Amino acid sequence: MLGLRVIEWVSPAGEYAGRLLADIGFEVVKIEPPGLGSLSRRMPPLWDQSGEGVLHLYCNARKQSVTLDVSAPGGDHLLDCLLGRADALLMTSDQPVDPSELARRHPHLIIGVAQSFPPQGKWGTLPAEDLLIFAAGGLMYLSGEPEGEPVCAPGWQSYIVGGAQLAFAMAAAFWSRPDRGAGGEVVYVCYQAALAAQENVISDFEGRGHSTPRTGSQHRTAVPGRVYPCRDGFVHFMVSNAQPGSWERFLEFLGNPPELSDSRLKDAIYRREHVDAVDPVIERIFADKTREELVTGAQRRHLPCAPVQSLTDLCHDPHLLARGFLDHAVTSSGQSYPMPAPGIRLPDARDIPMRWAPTLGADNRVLKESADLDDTTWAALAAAGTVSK
Amino acid sequence: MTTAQPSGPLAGIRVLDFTHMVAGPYMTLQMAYLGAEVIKVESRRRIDGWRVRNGNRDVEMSWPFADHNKGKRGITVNLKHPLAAELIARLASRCDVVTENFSTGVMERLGLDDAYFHAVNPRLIIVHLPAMGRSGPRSDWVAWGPNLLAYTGFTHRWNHPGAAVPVGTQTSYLDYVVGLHGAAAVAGALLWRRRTGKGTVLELAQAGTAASLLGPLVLSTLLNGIEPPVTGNHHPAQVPSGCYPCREPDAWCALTVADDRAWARLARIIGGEAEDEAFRHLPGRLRHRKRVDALVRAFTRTQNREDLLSQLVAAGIGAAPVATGEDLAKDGGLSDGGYVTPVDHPKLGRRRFPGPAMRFVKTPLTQSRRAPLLGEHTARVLREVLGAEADELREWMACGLLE
Repeated sequence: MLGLRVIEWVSPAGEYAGRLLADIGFEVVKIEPPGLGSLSRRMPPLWDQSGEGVLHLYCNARKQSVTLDVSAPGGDHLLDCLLGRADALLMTSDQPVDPSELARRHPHLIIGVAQSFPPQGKWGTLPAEDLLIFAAGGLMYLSGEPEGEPVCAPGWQSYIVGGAQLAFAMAAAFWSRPDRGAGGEVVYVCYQAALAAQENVISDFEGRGHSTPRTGSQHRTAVPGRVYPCRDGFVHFMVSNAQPGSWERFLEFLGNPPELSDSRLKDAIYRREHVDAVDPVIERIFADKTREELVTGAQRRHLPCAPVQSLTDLCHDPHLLARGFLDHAVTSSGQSYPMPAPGIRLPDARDIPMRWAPTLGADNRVLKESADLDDTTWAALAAAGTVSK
Repeated sequence: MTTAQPSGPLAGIRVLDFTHMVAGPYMTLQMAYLGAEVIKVESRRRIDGWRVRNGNRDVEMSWPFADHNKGKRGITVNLKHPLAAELIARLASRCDVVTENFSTGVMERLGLDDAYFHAVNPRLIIVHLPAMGRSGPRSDWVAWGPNLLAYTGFTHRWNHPGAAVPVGTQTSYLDYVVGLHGAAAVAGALLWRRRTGKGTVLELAQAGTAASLLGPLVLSTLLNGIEPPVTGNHHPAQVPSGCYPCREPDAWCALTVADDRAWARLARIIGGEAEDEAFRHLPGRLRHRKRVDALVRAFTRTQNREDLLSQLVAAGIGAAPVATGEDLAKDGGLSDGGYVTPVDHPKLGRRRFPGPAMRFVKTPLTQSRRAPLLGEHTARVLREVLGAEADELREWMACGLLE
């Protein structure tokens, strides 16, 4: 471990950032409301066995859990005690204490704040719902059928994007402030801005004078450049100008259909303009081939083609499995459960145990030690609803 | 607060950047935002493909390249020249990070493998961003970002429920998110280097990292033995929740009702059947989701998007626009917050680009600096970093090492 403690005080929108910090090697202690704990514990999909939310089980692996209601009697003081013994605070902007106030009280802290939207904007006070952030971020408009309803990405991607941005920012802040004596820092990450910076969405509008339209899975320049049905499923195929000679190899792969013999089709831009003539030929040829035939044949010719895989496919994918995609996490009682490997794996952090997400308040000793609480005081605080029993 | 000189938490960090296209440059862009000196290595024989993404003949007229390479310094080196490996080694000896996302084996064929770099600088953090990874049965596959969306489960899941054909997204979403993860990994590796004194080698295979981005849903599949249903725009525990058409063509509003009180407020706005007792509580709305959605849709279709959003937000109902590029370019919150700013470019003129999504209270970040022209800083970087004299530079130019 890095020997640095982060107190995590977040809504579900901030939990992925904390998970990445834990994967990097920070000790992450998560504050949860007494009683029901983090909302992510209850967000579906749920694990049938325990009824716990998978977002919680994934994002809160490797963390410790303490219960604390900061707004309850004595809660603010306990927060100060925790922060006094920590190096960083990861918080979402919907918490009831201003980050600048916490920075004043704890000048040594690195404070990372997740904001769903720019606070000075129209959406500044909106709840941090993934759907709303993702919609406002610009990528949802680009996703789905051209004439149909746009569709949001699966799996809380606004939390993933914003969380990765925030984990980077906080780690960078630690780099610039090597010890407590250097003083702390407050860094704000705007999740909508993090999404809006992607895909050249803004610069494409500035450059073309119109917004990039929705085109289904069709790539803006590549043809083939989308999902194609085949005999037993779907593949994604891409042939573009970025790979010299790829169109010729693709024609050979198709068996040199005469309908595609026009030499002008060699240029991807020309193909894109005539996609309605090109794609039906491809679809016809692909229709009676299997996913395996198409992918194997294409890759043998160094053509970018991949199967459209399901989550089940991922869990059995020989390449991903050979590369350690599936790991295990262990509970405090020694039970082992499967767990996908983290998004980043640092060699120096390889020996950090993959702990299963903690039960609520499993690590309340951290709070007790930070605040020097005896059992009597703890019981009184529990009776007041400030901590759990 | 911003400054003209490189400034930020990563000021003093120097990156030797061989990446191209999207994922790698987006990763090193984050570092440049935070003040790192990013030396972008190109070759006139092999430029960054994003310079010609739009089919433009003039490689300096690419706004997508200008977008993803802001604040970097550009050098051109013929990497296949017999003296190239030695020059690169000299540069690497003065760098903290080396990044690349070539196909597997390219760096090795250039004589620039990990052992070579660490021999000249054991403190280097070397970052590889291969599409499929540098090992494994499919490590030799050719795959671009959109292929990887299909391979990693995103295309299958990024759909409306019951879609006959998986459409997914046209975007290169994974390139960007893997880039962000790469940046976080580098920052983490710097912290570890401070403890250990040693560099490291990081490999973020886009396929593996991307599959982890669906980690919670993969975990659900592993634990429950069955994939969770595709939900599209629906929230499994909130009704209504989704994407609703407005009066204008192709204008949409995302809306989600967090609880029964929010529904009561929305139902009052919609009126009529929406205020039916059957929908008052969540269980009823869940049972009658289709009907509730139809009522909301019928209402939103009669409203201009801006009027609708104003009503909803004023009533405390979670709603946001499904933003287009134009919406984002003109978003007051993003502009006023400094997240979209003008940048001057010698060929493109003054353009608005997104900037860092991060704000540091105490540490000023470098003000928006433009992307480099091809080879713009070759001489200057070699003078400043290597102390190269004019004669040396002329010689390198004459022999074709520098372009």
